Amino acid sequence: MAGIGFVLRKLSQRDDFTRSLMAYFYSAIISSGPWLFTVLSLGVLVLITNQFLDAHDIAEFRIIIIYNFSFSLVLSAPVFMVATRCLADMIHSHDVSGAPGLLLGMFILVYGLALPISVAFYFFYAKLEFWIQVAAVLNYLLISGIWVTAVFISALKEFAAISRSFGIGMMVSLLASVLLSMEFGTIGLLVGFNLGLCFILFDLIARILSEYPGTPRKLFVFLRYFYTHWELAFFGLFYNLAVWVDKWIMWSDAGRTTQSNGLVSFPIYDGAMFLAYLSLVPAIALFTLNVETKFYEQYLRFFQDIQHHATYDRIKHNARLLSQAILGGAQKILILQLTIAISLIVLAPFLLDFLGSSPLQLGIFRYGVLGGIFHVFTMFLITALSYFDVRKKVLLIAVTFFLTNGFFTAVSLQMGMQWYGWGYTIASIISFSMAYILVARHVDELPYETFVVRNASV
Amino acid sequence: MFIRKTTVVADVCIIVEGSYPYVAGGVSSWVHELIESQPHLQFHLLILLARSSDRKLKYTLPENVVGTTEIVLQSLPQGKKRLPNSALIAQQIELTLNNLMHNGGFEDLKNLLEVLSKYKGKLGQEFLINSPEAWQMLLRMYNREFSHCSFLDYFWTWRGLLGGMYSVLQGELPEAKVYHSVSTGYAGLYLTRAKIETGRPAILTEHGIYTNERHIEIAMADWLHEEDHSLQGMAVDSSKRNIRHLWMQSFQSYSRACYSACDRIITLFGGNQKFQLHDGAQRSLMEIIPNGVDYERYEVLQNEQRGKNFVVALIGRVVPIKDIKTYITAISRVKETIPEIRAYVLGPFDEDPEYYCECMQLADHLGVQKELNFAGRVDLTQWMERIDINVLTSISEGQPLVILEAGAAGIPTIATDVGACREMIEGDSRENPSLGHGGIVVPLSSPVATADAIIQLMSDPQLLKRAGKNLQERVRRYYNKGDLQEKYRSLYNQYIDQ
Repeated sequence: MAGIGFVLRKLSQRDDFTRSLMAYFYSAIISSGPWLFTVLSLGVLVLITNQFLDAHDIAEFRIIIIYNFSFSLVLSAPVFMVATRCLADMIHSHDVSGAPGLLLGMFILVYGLALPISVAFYFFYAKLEFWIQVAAVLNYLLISGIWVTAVFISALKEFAAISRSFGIGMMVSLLASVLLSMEFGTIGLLVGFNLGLCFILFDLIARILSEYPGTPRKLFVFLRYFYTHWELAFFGLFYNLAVWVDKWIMWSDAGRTTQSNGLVSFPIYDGAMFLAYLSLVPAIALFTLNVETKFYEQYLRFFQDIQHHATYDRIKHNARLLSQAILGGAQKILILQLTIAISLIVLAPFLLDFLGSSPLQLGIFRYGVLGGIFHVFTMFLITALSYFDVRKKVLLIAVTFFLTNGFFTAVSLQMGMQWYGWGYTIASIISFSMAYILVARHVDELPYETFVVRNASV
Repeated sequence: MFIRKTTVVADVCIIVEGSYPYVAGGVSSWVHELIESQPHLQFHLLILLARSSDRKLKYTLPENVVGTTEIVLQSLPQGKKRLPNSALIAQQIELTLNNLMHNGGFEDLKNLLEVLSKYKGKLGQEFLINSPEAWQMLLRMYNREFSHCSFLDYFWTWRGLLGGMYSVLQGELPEAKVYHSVSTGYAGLYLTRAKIETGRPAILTEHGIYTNERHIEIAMADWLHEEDHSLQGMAVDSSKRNIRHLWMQSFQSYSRACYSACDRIITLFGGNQKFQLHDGAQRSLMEIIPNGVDYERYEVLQNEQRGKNFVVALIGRVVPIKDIKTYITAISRVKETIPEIRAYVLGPFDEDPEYYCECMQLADHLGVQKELNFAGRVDLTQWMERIDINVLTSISEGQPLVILEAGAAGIPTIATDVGACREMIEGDSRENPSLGHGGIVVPLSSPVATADAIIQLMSDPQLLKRAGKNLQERVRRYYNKGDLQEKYRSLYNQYIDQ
């Protein structure tokens, strides 16, 4: 008689949590990495060019770079969020033969979209000289390429080396663009910037191909993930939209600046905001470091103890430790960030004066710094939730951020100039509150969430 | 997938678990023949299986199977997520569950069914297994007695056991006049439910004892973590309950409930009955109806030359459980006294090639390669005329029909004391006066005793013939297939009209 030994046999084949463990792969790096690069690039850009905006070349250059960063990020985010998961699964199943194919497939998909869009925009909408158009399109493609290769950075794990090449690349951009601008104006600035980006992009591609050699096969296997992990794709979209929507709304306002080439912006707002974002860089760096140590240790221990047959007492204890690690880590960053924020807010008038900024930017800058604290913490909480693979909750936060940022920025436009930037602050506070509640609830019920709700084998 | 939907009220609903008609084997064939032997009755098949089961039909269902229903174990309807008095429901269920997973029985099952039927359609996977209330229930049950155990193992055990139970208690229940289960376990659980909900007669036929078989599996389950290595398996002196106990005691509760619900508790041989009694079966309801063989078919193969050929045969597959090696060793010993001995192994040897190789090597090593012959799968009717003694050295058996088939042809058997072998060879307590021994029962794994038994019979043709005749008569009287099928016919008759 065959009996029902199968029930027992099936139980011995269950997969306990190893899939959940892989969630760490789309971690701090992927949620804050692109943002960090954007902030640094645009922040420094703004810093240097703020005083020279009367110069047509510089204003044109700046607006092209800002456009390219913003649109490339929003459009490639769904792709690279989904691809990160695909790569994580490949690594988890110890079969990375598809990695070169994934890289190539991503490039084809992203460039397939990026090329027509950027060409249409720069060649048919913007009124620019031919070579500027070419350089602008190239710039867009290079930045998109960097987002694509960023997917592999977590897996490569050569963080120090990669940070170095980013640093070198940005140095090259800076020097080359300054040098070439003297002779060639806008084109020189763009070409110089592109040179630095090329350096970064090709360096990353080289590292990826040396880590994952082989012929690219099964290029579009990752497309399936758009269906199975649609929450991730939408999260990528909405999160990056959320971060840019306030600026886009300002650009649509009557008070915007329109250049001769037809490109619109709101330099007072953009400039002040990106300067404010620079204040977040220390916090992001600290978070990334902290996450890879204390929190991750505790997180790993939580799952491994379960797999090693811990009693419930121990599991509960580990959950508590994990919650403490999240809060403890957050506290340190909060203190740092508050200190920076308060100092900046107080010193704002002097700072902006020193930087040659318009006094109109004072209010926006202060709102930006304040909102930035909550924004950065929302980012951390999203990362924490991502570790637990709660995709829908994370999507909810992103959508909320997008809607509130857009809505309240529009409102602030109605309320008058001294309220500009307030929309971002309110949106950040609301999103942070929501994220906090979601994380707190999840960690409170961590054993239930882990065993019953999230467990894929259930 | 094969499901025959019907509104016909069948005479008999046969409940099978993990066997007929998707698995070929002894029990399946028995069910198939039972249905075929009662062509005047209409049967409904209630099939319990695992989600991942292969759904290929291994038998062509007889004409008188008017309907089939499948229940996938651990597969529940979703049910409602939230219920108005969820805490109260959880409380009521928890009490019963605690009993059922420890020392439960019929009353507990009845209580559980009452709660389930009160909220019919609303209690499903969502509430019973995945809800926060279910989680709290799990934690309370864990903390009561298992707080020292691997929580992971307890979690999966809880889900597995309860999922299985709920799916059986909430699945479809076709109408029938009699419900007949072929084992305890989940099929027995379903039988109990049928009895409680319809009041119709319930019959149980046990081939192997379900709890025994699970006992071995659970003791050997290496995916169950052993928190204290001195408590391997089912150590009697382990004072704390562990998860293996949980599994065993749950299945024992199901058996207990089933025996209480049955109107008749049948098994194949007496040796099983002590286990049934231990798990609460009432003696007055118990009966032995063994498997039978086609007496006429084998009787014609009897031979007056029996005992003069020096031929012994082990009829069975070449696998470790048949302990061919003891047979080979015994033969080498017999050879010393009876050099004319010719020994055969009649059965396929491709199931375990490694074991077959070892057997061949052993035969070579002992120098019996000439005397011993592996003939493979053969047509037994051709061989029966030549065989003098049938030998079975198995470590474990149920009711091996080969003893009866050979017996019908007048061939005595030497067999190990497992399963129904002793009863078939020596007769059981029902035989009055005793017909005499139809062979010799020897201890397990004992080449010396086996060899001595062979020598004893082989050197005394009169004794051999007499033993053969005794066994033949026993088969004719008590193991004739037609008679046994008639027993089921009158059994069904008795209960259908109730």
